[in-house]
Amino acid sequence: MSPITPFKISVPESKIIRLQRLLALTDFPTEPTNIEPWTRGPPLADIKRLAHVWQHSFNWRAIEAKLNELPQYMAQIEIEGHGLNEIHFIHQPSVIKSAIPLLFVHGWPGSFLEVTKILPELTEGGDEYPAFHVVAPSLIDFGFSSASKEASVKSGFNVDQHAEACHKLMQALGYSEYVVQGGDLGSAVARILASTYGPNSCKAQLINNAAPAQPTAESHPELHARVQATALTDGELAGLKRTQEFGENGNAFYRLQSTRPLTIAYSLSSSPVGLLAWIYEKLHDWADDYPWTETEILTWVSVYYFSRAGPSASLNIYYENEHRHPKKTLFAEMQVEIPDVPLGIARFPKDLILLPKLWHHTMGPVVYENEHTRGGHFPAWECPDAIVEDLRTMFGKDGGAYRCTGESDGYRVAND
Amino acid sequence: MPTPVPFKIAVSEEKLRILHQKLSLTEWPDEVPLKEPRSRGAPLQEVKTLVDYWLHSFDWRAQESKLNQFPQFTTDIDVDGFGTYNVHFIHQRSDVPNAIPLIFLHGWPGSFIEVTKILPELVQGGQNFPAFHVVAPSLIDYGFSQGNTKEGFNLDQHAEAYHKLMQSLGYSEYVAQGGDIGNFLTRFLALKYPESCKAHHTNMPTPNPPDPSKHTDLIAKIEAEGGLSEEDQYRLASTQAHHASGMAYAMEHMTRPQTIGYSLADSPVGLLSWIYEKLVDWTAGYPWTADEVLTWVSIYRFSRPGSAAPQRIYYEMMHRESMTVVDVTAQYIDVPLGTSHFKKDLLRFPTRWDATLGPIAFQAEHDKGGHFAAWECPQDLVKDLRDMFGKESPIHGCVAGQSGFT
Repeated sequence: MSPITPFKISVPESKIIRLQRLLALTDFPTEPTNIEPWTRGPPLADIKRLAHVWQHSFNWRAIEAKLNELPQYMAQIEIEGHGLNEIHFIHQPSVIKSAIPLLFVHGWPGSFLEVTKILPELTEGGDEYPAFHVVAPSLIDFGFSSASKEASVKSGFNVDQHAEACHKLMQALGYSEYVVQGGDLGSAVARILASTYGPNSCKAQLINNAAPAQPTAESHPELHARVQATALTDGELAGLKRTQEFGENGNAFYRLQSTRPLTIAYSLSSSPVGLLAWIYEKLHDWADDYPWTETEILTWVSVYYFSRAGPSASLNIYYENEHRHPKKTLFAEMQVEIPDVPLGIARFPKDLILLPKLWHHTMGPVVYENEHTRGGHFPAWECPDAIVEDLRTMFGKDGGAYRCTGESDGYRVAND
Repeated sequence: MPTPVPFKIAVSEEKLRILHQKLSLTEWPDEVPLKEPRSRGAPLQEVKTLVDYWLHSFDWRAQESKLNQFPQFTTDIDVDGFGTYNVHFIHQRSDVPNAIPLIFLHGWPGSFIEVTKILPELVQGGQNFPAFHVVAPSLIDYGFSQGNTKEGFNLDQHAEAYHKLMQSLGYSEYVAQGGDIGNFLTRFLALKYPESCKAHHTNMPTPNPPDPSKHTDLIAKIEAEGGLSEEDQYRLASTQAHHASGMAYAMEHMTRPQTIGYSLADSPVGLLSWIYEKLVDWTAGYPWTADEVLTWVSIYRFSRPGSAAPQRIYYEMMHRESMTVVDVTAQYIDVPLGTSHFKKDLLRFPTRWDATLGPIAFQAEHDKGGHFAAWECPQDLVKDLRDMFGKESPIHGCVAGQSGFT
């Protein structure tokens, strides 16, 4: 039985002092004068203002205290070939005993923070809509979980190991059956959970970053014929344009993190402003005009800056996922059909990869699909109601994944 | 024409002090130990050793003095539609009055320093081999030239600036040599100013594959010779490998130059690793000393336009409105061209494809060297230039009155 202990975030004072010293020494670059803002990166005025707030008025201790009101724990989990790891996680069970165990998996540059807005609503319910027991870890190499260790074995610590960690965490909490919600890297982890631990343990997946393969006449003859016969909606056309734009213009971070993560690691570990710019660019570019406050931005960045494994450890998974041989690379793996685990797709218009909806059927049995009218890459943060609605509907009495976890269907039992 | 003003590099004590403070506060990433130590980037132990040396042993003032032994100047150049730019350059005239005026154009992560190994030999000669008057600027946005903060300042504008620089020095006709961005610049000079740029040489030619609709003779010739050789296949494969795993830096420069600019401006070790990774990856076992690496990096750290500037040209190149830079520079430009191929350069193509670029006046293949030819193989580059413009060469005397010989 893996030991689980309560946990409170407590960043050493020395780290805070060092941060402020480095901010005080910041060398800012110049900026071209007549350009359209954001076309080349975060505007200088924004970065200067954020750096100033971070140095002088951002109160990490207050943020930390607020976060520590959440039920946080640390679990010791053994990962095959990679030794013992410590997983930081939020665990909020519902008062409804038969609530659905839900694993919420974040991505980059997100964190466990992303669950905090939806946590109260998800654990409510039991009458009109299902309730959930919510588990939201920091991925290993992120947040307050430990750093991954390179084993002496051939394979690196990639998405399979992250899935193993999450699965074992759910098991350790007594959730032999569970469902998973994930976006960004979290949606990749969700897919591996489904393929490796489904349908016995991982009973259903709701992802908000579907990246399906195009059905061909050879791979999916019926679906292919349907695709050929179906005109793309305006939304789908816009989505394809957005996907192309992302690939051409917004993907350099991915190329760098998946080929030369160590080169950029030096900057991200040694320069708070460098880290701030690296992350803030994506908070802006990937959200749907979300009005990020300074506190939000700096809290998200601070979770990386103060992370246990250091801000650069989070890049490891990008490299590992592209060097997963002899297994497939990440995107290829995400396209593999998982025929026996119910799949839900939440689609947000300002996300990065939006492919024609019929293609989703190459991924597995689509039991739920919702195309939202607003929101981007961080829906649990930008439009929490939307994700809550998706989960309640997909797993609700009329939903395609109702009762997938058997008697723990999220509804109040008569005598409760 | 304004007279060039003599220039000496003089980095402030304040900048040195801040650098040291930051270096001593360096927070290190963890390294994932790997079978292939360089595959994720500049290895941690090497970077730590360099930073330690930088902090305790590297003598910038000594390197600064060494650089200041070269005759440096600055002059104001007007660029149409953009304004006036103060351009820093080395200008060394040969004792041979009829020496060939040559402009040497660096790239990234290089600088004007790259000319310093070949300069002393290039200005010699006049008897058995030609001599050159050498001009080597810091590109605008690099080194000790002024930076540009206006959108749209592309290779066209850079070429205009360096052409006007040569004109301002009294060189109405000249030849050009370059690699990396310098390669593209020699092509733009030849294209825009063929009446002045009488010949150009590149150590990184970038032809497109021969086009069946345009290059039927060349394609037939290659076919007749047995198609692409094993060496050609190897070249193309290594270019592809570079595109697959070594081009992320360029993608970042081309799409988000300001984002990476924040890191490069603020973090000396970030700047060091960004550059050092390429110094090693792009050379063929060149035994970089710590002094060399740190001098190269210091030129970026202490540059006049700052560390977010060098990336801007990549963004502009990618967003050029009319023809793409690749297509502009890969077209046939009717100005004599010399190409030198070095074994480990990043973009390598079958040498027979060079003929699509222009009239080939000189071609050499070297079984050594990489991206920084003037630094790694100065002797070979000097010999190539001497042969290209020598008495036996078809373009001997291409610059009127400046044959390179007494």
